[in-house]
This record gives sequence, C-alpha cells and structure tokens, in this order.
Amino acid sequence: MDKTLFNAGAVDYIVIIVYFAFVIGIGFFLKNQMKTGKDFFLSGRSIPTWITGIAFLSANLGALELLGMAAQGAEYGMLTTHFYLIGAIPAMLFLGLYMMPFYYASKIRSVPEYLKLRYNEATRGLNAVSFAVMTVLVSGISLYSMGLIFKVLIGWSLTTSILFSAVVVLIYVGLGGLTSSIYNEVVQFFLIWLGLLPIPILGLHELGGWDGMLSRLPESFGHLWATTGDPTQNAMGVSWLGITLGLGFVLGFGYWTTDFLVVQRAFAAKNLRAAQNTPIFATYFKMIVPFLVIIPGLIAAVLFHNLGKPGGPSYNLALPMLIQRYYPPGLLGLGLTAMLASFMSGMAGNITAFTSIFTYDIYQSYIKKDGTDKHYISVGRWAIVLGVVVSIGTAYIAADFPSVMDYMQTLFSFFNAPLFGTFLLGMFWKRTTPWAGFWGLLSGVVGAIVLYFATPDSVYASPQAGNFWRAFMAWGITMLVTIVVSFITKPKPKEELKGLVRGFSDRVNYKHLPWFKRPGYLAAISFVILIIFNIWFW
Amino acid sequence: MESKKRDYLDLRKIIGSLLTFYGVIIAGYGLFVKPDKAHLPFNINLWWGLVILIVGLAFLFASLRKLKVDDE
Repeated sequence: MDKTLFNAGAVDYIVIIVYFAFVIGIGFFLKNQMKTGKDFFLSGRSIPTWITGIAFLSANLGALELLGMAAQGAEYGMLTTHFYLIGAIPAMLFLGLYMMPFYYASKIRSVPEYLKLRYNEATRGLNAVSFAVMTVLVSGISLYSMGLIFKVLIGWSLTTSILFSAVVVLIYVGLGGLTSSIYNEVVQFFLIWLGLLPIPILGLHELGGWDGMLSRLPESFGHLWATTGDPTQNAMGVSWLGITLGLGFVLGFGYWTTDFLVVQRAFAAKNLRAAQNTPIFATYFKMIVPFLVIIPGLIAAVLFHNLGKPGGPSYNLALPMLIQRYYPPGLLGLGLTAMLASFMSGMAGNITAFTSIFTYDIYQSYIKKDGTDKHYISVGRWAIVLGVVVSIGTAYIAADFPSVMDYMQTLFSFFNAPLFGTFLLGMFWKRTTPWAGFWGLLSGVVGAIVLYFATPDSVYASPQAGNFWRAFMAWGITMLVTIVVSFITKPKPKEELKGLVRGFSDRVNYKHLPWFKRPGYLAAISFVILIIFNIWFW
Repeated sequence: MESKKRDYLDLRKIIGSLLTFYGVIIAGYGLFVKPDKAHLPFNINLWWGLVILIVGLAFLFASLRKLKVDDE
C-alpha cells in the first residue's frame, strides 16, 4: 500500500462516521415527503432564501474547488481570486436582477425547457444532450479528485475510494431528490467553514500575518491587477483584457447564469423575489470564500518549497499538507469530514442537475410523453443511478488529464460560453428567431471544439489563458451566427414570447418593501463591496 | 402549510445537533487527551471545539424560535 499522509485515530473515525450517518439519515427522513415530481425535482418550490442561497454557492464548492483553488493559489497567488470576484460576482448579480424573472416566471423546470419555449424543440434537445454530457464529465472530475484524496489520506485504492463515494451520493440523492441535496449542501457549507477555517488563521499566525507571508512570495502573488498590464509579469500569463473578457464576461456569465447545476437551486425558492435574492445573497458568501481556499494556497507556497516542483508533491496537495501540519487528532477528523462534505456537495449537485435534465428534457420529451408523475419520479431515481454509474467511468477519463482544473475550464468554454450568447440574445432581443438560436448555439460549441484542437498550445501563455480567449471567441461565434440567421428566418409571434423576452413581460415592482428585501438594493451593496475588494488588493 | 414549517425547523436542528456533537467531542478530546502538534503553541482542539460548540448551540437555540412565514 502507498504511504498515507495521515494517521487517523479512533476519534477521527467517529467524527467521519457520524457525518455519514447524518447525511444518509436526512435522505431517509425526506423520502417520505417526496410525493410529487415537483417535490422531488424542484423541492416543491418552498425553500427559504437563506437556504437556497447557501445551496446555490455550495453546489459549486466541491472538492475541486477546495483542492483546485488552493492549488491555483499556490501556483498563481492572489490572481486566483479573480475566479471569485470578477469571474463570479457580476454574473451572479446579473442572474438575480435580470435573468431570474424570465426563468422563474415562466414556470420552467429546467434551463433547456426555457430554450424550448423561447426557441424551438431542436435548441432544447441540443442543450439537454450537451448539458447531460458535460455534467457527467464534470461529476467524474469530482469523483476522481476525491478518490485521490482518500487514496493519499487513508490509503484506500483509487477504485475503492471512487466506489465508496459513489454509493453514498447514490443513497442520499436517490432517497430525497433535490431537497436532500440542498439540505446536505447547507450542512456541508457550515462543516466546510468550521472544518477548514483554522488553517488560514494558524498559517497566517505562523508566518507573521499577511505582510509577513507576502514578503516571502514573488511580487505578483499579492496583487489582483497590478501585474496584469504585461502578461509576462504574472504567473498565469494573462492580461487584464483576457481576465475581463474571457473569465469575467464570458466564462463567468456563461457558468453562473446558464449552468443548470447552480440555477436549479434558485428554482427551488418559494417566490420570485426569493429566487432573485438567492444568487444575490450567495455573492456575499462567495466573496469571503477566497480566505478559506486561496490563502491556504499562498501559505503552502511559503511553507513547502518543493511544492509543484519536479519530484515534489503536486499543487493539488497544498490543502491536505496543511491539514497534516496543523491538525491534531479530533480536529483532523473534522478537517477530513469537511473535505469529504465538499466533494459530496459538488458531486450531488451534478447528479441532481443531470437527473432533472435527463428526466424532463430527454426522457419525457423524446421517449415517453404521457407518463404519470409517479412514473417520472421513478425514472428520476433510475437516472440518478445512471448518472452515478457513468460518473464512475468519467472519473477515469479525468484521471488522464494532467490538470483537472484546466480540464474543467476547457469543458466550460465548450458548452457554457456559447450558451450564454444564446441566452443573452434570447432574453433581450425580441427579433432573435427560433432557428437562429439553434444554429448559433451549435456553431459556437463546434467552433470552440475546433479551436481547441486546431490551435497549437504554444499560442497561449498558459492553459488558463487559452481557456479565457477560446471562451470569448466561442461566445462571439454564437452571437454573430445567431444575429445573421435571425435576419434571414422568421421570428416567433409576439404572443408566444410573453414572459420570456424583455419588452414582452410585466416588470415586477418591489417599491412597497423595505430596502433589505429588495433585490436591487442588495445587489448594489454587493457590487460596492466587490469594487472595494478590487481596490484593496490591487 | 404545517408540514413546510416543520421542515425548516428540522434543518436548523440537524445543523445544530451535528455541530454541538462535534464541539463536545473535539473540545473534550482536547481537554482530556491534550494532543500535541509541533507547529502549534496552544491547544487548538479545545479552543476550536468550543467555537464549534457555540455555533451548534446557537443553531439549536434558533430552532426553538417560531419561524415566521413571510410570503410576499
């Protein structure tokens, strides 16, 4: 057996086992409450805002996020924070303020369903299939990353770890559906914070505070923007323009506004205002996550000199190595539980999204149109089994890629970036025609894939820089093709677009509410904090 | 809407009881076993365990309060 990083004691195992008992217990508790398809897939649209807000964020706070962002922090420094600030916040606010009214008010159950109403069946089918493919690929990455951790930490084989993790997710999502997934995401959110917060605190304490830490790192590690004027001056090899257009505009918006995995959490909210506030609340939490995941990366870069060097440990081990350094038995169990929890929330999120899309947009649309509600719940449960089993296979695909983080961003540039163009035109330009939506989306996806295989690696300074620019070009292709085709095909009649496009919808008015309940005010405050952060760490 | 109310209460109870349990275990372990760690000048288990315990109890306490259902 490989040597393990940790020696977990009895007390650590108690902590871990209690967690699994709780997770599975929640699944059983909720099983009896899942009576209709709406309960199972949309949580009956009855969950309070603070819960959907946390779940919105936590579905994205997977193992990949924890390990990957700590790794990127150790490799690129504070530049990694762009993934949280410009790469996420503006898009989340835009989703809450401008897109959620169309999503929520049209009573759709999934993102592809919106495309069917706005465009046509073909666009929906294209998106449903490409999303299903992307989700199981991403879910395989989560499964693989966590398998790696088990392997290094406890000494299980990769296959044992993957199978064990897959079975747990299968049990609790299969029993309780989306509610189970959302409830666990909220529990996980608190566990992740309480389990990992001592690391940045202890690390900064040991290194003599923030300035003490930065004084022992390369200059570009401490800045967000100061070194991006010239791409050769920072570790990521990107310019401010690449960050703003590629990451901030296209990749960020593409992921946060159209990826059903995150958007689905807002659909579970109890009313339109709660659905709008869901991503807006989430931005407040999102802005503080870098403290938990990126700062440990910087600390690791100071403490472990051979990290990421030939012969040394991989960047992905930055966080586990810090846990090993600081956590005595007891707390160690909690730290491991937090990492397990984050893995499960990422994986479960992918599986629930896959299940809804598969059941509604593939099975119900093309295989059996007139089944009973009960029939679809049971199909949903089988879809969960299918999703988990396929993810086990894709976990081994992910194992073949040198950097899983780059692999994931590449997938997003293929699928999410073009989709964002389709949504932008669909929601805000009445003239966009059904077939323009289809051809625009198709050419964007195909274009991104062709660009990926046709451009030599040497064109871009780093794989991330390549992803940023490719995403931007894929989005551009979609926009261009959609606009051109719109002028030569017939638009949908006005009546069919009611509630789906800006200009044909009733504007909601929250003037009678106090400021702290109104999406506009909450978003404005968040935006101001975002600007302060950017100036502070300039 | 009775059943809905019960659900939210349960989530706060779930988080509260899980964290309270963890707080007791970890702080207790720190207090009685006093595990040593080379890079730490103080008993992190005891102090962080207490933090977790407080958060857990706060959730339990919050779950005792009646939830006001605010719709629109």
